[in-house]
Amino acid sequence: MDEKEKQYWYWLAKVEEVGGSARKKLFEVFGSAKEVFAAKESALRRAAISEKAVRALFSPRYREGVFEEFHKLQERHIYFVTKDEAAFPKRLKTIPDAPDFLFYRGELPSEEKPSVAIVGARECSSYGRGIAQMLAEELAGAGVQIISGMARGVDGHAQRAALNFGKSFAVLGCGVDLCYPMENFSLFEELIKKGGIMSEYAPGSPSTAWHFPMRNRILSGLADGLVVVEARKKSGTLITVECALDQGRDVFAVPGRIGEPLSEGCNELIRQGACMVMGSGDILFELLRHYPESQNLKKLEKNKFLLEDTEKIVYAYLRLEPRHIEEILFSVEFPLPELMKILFSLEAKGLIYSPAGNYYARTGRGS
Amino acid sequence: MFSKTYAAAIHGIDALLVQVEADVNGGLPGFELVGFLASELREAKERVRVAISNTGITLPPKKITVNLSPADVRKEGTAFDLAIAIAILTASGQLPEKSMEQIMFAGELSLDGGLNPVNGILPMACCARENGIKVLVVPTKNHAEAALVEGICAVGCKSLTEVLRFLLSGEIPKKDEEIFVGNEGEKLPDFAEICGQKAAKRAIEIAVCGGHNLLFMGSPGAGKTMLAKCIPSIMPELTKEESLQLSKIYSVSGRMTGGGLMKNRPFLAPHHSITASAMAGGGKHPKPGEVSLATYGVLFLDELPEFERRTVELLRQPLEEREITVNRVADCCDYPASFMFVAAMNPCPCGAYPDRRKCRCSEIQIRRYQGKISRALLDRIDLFLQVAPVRYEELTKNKKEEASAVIRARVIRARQRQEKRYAGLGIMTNAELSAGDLAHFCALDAAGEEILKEAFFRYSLSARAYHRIIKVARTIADMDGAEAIGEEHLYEAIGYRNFV
Repeated sequence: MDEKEKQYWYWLAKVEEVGGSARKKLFEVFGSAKEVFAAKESALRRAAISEKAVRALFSPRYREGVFEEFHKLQERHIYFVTKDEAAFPKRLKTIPDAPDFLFYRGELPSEEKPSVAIVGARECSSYGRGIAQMLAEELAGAGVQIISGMARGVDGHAQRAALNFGKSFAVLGCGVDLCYPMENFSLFEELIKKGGIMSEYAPGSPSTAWHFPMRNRILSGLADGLVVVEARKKSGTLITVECALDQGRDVFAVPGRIGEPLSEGCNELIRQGACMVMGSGDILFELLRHYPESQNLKKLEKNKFLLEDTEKIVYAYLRLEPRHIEEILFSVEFPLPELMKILFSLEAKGLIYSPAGNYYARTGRGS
Repeated sequence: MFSKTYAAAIHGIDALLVQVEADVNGGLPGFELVGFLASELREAKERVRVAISNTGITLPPKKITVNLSPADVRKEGTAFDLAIAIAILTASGQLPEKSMEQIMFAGELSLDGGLNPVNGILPMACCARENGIKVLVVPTKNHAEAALVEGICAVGCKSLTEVLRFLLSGEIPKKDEEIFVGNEGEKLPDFAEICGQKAAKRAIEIAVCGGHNLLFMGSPGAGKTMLAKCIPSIMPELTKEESLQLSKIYSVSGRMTGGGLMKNRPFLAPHHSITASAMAGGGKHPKPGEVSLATYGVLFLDELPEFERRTVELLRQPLEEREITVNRVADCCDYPASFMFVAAMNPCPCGAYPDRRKCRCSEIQIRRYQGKISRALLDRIDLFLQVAPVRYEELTKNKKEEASAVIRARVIRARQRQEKRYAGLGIMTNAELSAGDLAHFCALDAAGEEILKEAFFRYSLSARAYHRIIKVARTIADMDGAEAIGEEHLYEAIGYRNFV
């Protein structure tokens, strides 16, 4: 496809009122985006698309300055790739309802390397946070690309952890020039540098509620497997699981305790046949079937820390759920000042962290 | 004929000498009362006239003029009644004039000639002594309070008749009973009654030792209020000077109970619906507010985010300068407001965070809730602590908990060490150290600096938070009896850093 045609594609991408199915109808009638742009109103009507879409196609809102805008994308380091181009992710081409184009910053996921999506609850527990980080770190360290939605909670924690050891990519529900949620801005910038950010929505599109279920199909489509870390019974995460199943991706779920509301969704998935994850090894094992040639998918060497005896005692008592210093004090019977010293040094080694003042929890790295 | 007596007007927590001048002379019979008076004082005219006649004395049908001098200072309250009555009786020749020079009068008259108690007797007595007045006549119920000031003779009378008898014959009315009890007998809540909570108790001890302010965070029922209530029991006892100052504040606000000087450090826990002026002091006319009543004690704000922002913001001045300036329509006063600030709050709207099994508050909600507290106020708090609910094992352990008296002894030792170090600098505790003083008094060795550097980057601390950790570490070292700040002191201080 030449640049000329691509700029018409860009115009079409901007017209929010024209969705995937309407676009398909238009192409059946006109054959190219350029022809759609030049088409008369009566001709458009013949394509049997909605009245709203016809009006939008003529709206000066989308037409004015659209080509200058297209040429400026490069300056803003925003790239635009359509389905017919070679650069377009192959994994996405095969999924039902595949996106016609993608906007991205940074880079696109490599085709050769395996990729895994890690998703879960926004209001996750520290168990969820710990597991998401552990899985993301170990998988990224083994050369797996981590795909997620850059949302609050599990998504963000997994991606942040992954970037320390490898690459990560985010699929957004808004334009790639916008950061949602705002609090993940530092992650947003990191991702552009060390991975990539993708969206099927044109730059400047705000994050609308109905964008998110749509972007989930891209999220799971880009991955070879989908890992659900924490999900409530009725969770948005389960939409992503449906997409993954439709696309024939492996679904992994992290088990939780019985009665734990944040794990009910995951446990239900396991009951229905999802692969239970007890460590990154379970995921790597499945991935090896898709990538028999890449034997370098080795399990990440565990960071071995030399712990002092006192540190071992305290660490043994900590869990992935936060425990208050008072509880620890009651069980280990060290004097408070010494306990604080031990906690500080365990935290320095990255084995524990403090989710809220004076509460401590394992990070999941040491287990 | 002209005569004068003395009374005192309250201004701030001090009293100002007032001359009550009376003149009884020819002219149309009448009664004029002048001298910048509040309305309750203007009504004194009627009270005094009736009280005198009900005592059995007939006022001559002449023109009576009473002036309260200095006439440019606003006077309020009912404490002038007695002085006015005595001045009139002297001016009309019913009392000998000579006796009045050395006497101050305070008290409200009732219509039958009885004397009712008034507020602010303690500062009045201090004012009398400063002005060389030897005798202070007060209502019986105020006698104990007046007698606290050495160097003047306090005379308690039940009625105008008794006052007259004293003035004419020198007979001092008999006291019904000794009421010099003070509030010593009041038992303070003791740390021995609190099970477990080792970390919280330790943080409180550090805060009291170094004069630091403290913030508790914890779920409802974790025992934040209970812990705070015990704080006065481990503070060093009030010095005589402090006790007198505090008693004056309570006297002016009419809160003196029992009659003796204040012996216990106050604990004030205003409800979160409190208005800004109740907190700072004053309505139309300045009066001590909660911050002043908490002087030398603890001001405890439970549910800190629920307080109106304006109310909390005004704590900034007293926390910095240890006094508060109350500026109102009628007047402007400085009140002492040197208190230990303790606050408590829930970690999130539901209170269960970080227990995600119970708490479904979103990160945004939590951040918004915690963000309600102003940064400026947080900057004045040195110690932060999460309080966890007491465990069942602790509750039933039956282990003897440390009593407040034991902790207090340690606090006094740590305070003495600080006073010695800061002698001549005008500061008493580590909390008052300025950033400049830190380098001098809180030098760290290489290992210590390494720890702080690590903490600084790991928790992305601000410069202020960094200084706070050093100050708290200095206090912990003082409690340890250590000359230099050691590693273990720093580790512990870092554990109490700001996490809001």
